[in-house]
Amino acid sequence: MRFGELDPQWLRQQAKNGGISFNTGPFRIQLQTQIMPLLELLTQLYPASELVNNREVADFHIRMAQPRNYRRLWRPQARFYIDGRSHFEPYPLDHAFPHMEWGLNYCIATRAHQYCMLHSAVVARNGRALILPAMPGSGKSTLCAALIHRGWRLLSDEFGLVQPGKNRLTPLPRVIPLKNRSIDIIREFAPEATLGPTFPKTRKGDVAHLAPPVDAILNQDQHPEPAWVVFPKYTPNASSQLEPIPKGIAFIRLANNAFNYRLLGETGYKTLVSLIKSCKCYSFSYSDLESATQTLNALVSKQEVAS
Amino acid sequence: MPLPDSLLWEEWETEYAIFNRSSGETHLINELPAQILRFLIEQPDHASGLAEKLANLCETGNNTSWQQQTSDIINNLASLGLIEVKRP
Amino acid sequence: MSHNILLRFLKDPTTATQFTASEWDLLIRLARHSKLLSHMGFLLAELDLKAHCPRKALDNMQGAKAYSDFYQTQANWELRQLQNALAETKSPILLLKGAAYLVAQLPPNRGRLLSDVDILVPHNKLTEVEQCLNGQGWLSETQDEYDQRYYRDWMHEIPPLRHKNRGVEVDIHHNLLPLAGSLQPNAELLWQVAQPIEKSNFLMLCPTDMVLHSASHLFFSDELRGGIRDLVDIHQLCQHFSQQDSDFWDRLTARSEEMDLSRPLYYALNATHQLLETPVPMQTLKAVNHDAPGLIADKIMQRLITQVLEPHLPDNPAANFAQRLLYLRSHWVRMPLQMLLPHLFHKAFLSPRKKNTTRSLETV
Repeated sequence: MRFGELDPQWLRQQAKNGGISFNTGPFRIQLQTQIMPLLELLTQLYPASELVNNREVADFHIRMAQPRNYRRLWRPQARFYIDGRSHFEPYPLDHAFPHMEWGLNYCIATRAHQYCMLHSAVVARNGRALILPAMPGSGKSTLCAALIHRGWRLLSDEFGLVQPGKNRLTPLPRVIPLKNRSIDIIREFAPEATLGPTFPKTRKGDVAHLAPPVDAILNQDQHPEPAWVVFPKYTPNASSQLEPIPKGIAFIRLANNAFNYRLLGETGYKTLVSLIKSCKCYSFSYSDLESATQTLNALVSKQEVAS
Repeated sequence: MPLPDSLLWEEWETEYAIFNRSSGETHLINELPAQILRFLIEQPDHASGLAEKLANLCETGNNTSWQQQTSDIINNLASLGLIEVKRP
Repeated sequence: MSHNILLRFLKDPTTATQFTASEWDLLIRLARHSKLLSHMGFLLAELDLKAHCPRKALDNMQGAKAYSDFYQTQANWELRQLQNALAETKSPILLLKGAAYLVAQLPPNRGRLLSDVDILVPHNKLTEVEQCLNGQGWLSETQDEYDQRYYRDWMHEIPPLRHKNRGVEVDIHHNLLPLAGSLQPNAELLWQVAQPIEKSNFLMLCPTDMVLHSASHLFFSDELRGGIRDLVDIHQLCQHFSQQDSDFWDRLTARSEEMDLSRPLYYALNATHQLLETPVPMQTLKAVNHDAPGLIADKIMQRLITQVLEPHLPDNPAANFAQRLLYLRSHWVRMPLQMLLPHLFHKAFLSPRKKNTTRSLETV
């Protein structure tokens, strides 16, 4: 059964008692919570996620709870626990959802070393993946949000998961946090998009979450081959410009950008060498999203002509 | 100057990405230091010997400034842990 | 005696083939919290049992292995640098604990997480070694005068060093237990029978001393949080050495008396026999039982030890409480009483950051 099809009352009971288990990409989450608005938003933004058996091995055992202290009387808070331990300061209760998303990203980045984890958005078309590494000022989330409304399938906004030895990208389709001005830009660019409520004044400013498209969830076990690494740079008023860059440079930039390149040692090195070998590498400056998506779409047609 | 037997190489257009299995570190180096590493893989050598081989290969005079340059590269490679310098 | 799933696995990894999915779920969590998740993967691989494991369990063990591999590479590299740097001092270097298991490839090394390397040098070489390392980029972490004095006056090691370009902490010891403690082994005796490690220029403790060190470290230091992982070390070392040498157990008890370390050996052998079913011969158990503390103290200790060492999830309040009691006790065995109060006071109120020094190693 998928979140969208379940009786909300029943789901609440489950989440409160034994917890609910669901898959996000290759990971299985077990979530226990009594914070109902959090659960509502979760089912609203991930309607196609499937509820799975609680009695299987889960990767992350999460509890979102209100800490028991006097503070909760006048300023209620939500806290993220993994395996019963809390590594972060609590958040205001009404920011429980962004707190959980963020906490989960942190857990993945610090634990899932069975993957080489790029800090990148990844989208795919015709079974070929485009990797957009996150660099300060890259605008990667906005660009990623735009691309998935112009024909690309969302693999992930935050993690490029590469399985060592396979040279394939593993999808991890989760919500895309849009910040400040990007929220309205995407509303206008893709009126059909599902956005959650805006959370004002988070650590990163105002944040609203774009739901992953249903097809991204349904196809989360399709693993495309990497074809392009594009380092985006948002440049006000610039026209879209795609410049090839040397592979040695792309390799080092991608390695520096990965969450666990150094930790993986030889495995990380070999994984990124094969990835870069199979990709065309570019730097990309852009400002207008319509023109940016057209330029990147042209990569696919070029590829088709070439083959 | 023996070299750790643990280097993985990848040649890109103008650079080499080198992974040192012993230290777990990756380094991007260009042609000259890469050539010094190649010489050392063939056989350990002294700084003066390396400067001479390198000068022959680049068809340039093996003068004092060339030797200084070579020795700077060698020191850099050593500080990165790519080679080990044996002092007499 | 126990239904604890991780203990069941450690006693006999082949039982894993019969675990249900929810047992696996708990096992993975317990093993991760006990820093044994990567180790578990090695045990399963050796017995060729991976085909029987759930896919998710394999993923998690693989992730943990990447992590432990990384720390082992770093530790190996650090040891290589130390060896080069210390060549001129001509001091013998003896590797302790994880560093020795790593270089000598002893069974506890499989999947082990090493955050630091511990070495032993002769007391009369200590100053020279320290100065030599200071001159080549290894610097002391703490500038705090109290910490510096604490180490030098009361401890068996100098304040930890770290090379300015690297992350591995180097702990240089001149003895196995703190100077101020009630037990004081004679370091001279350790050196007399130290053994070379094959294919390296390092030394390690002889088998009996290695077990005694591990036991005194677990039961007489403040790192009881090493918990079941440290007990597994003792379990595996005993198994390994007793297979190599049929006189091992007798040597062990004899040596413990010579080294004045029979009390920690008593605790260690009892615990590992009880929790992990280590095949300790009856006569050895009887021999060490002479060194048991008074009856009531013994009962209390046994209970606390089992509570702390039995693998648990982080939110188990009983285990946390027991751990706190044992922490207090470990300070009491280590230092004369008049020392204890000011030290705890200082530790609790003046140096809160000390508690977090190993934080970088932790995953969630």
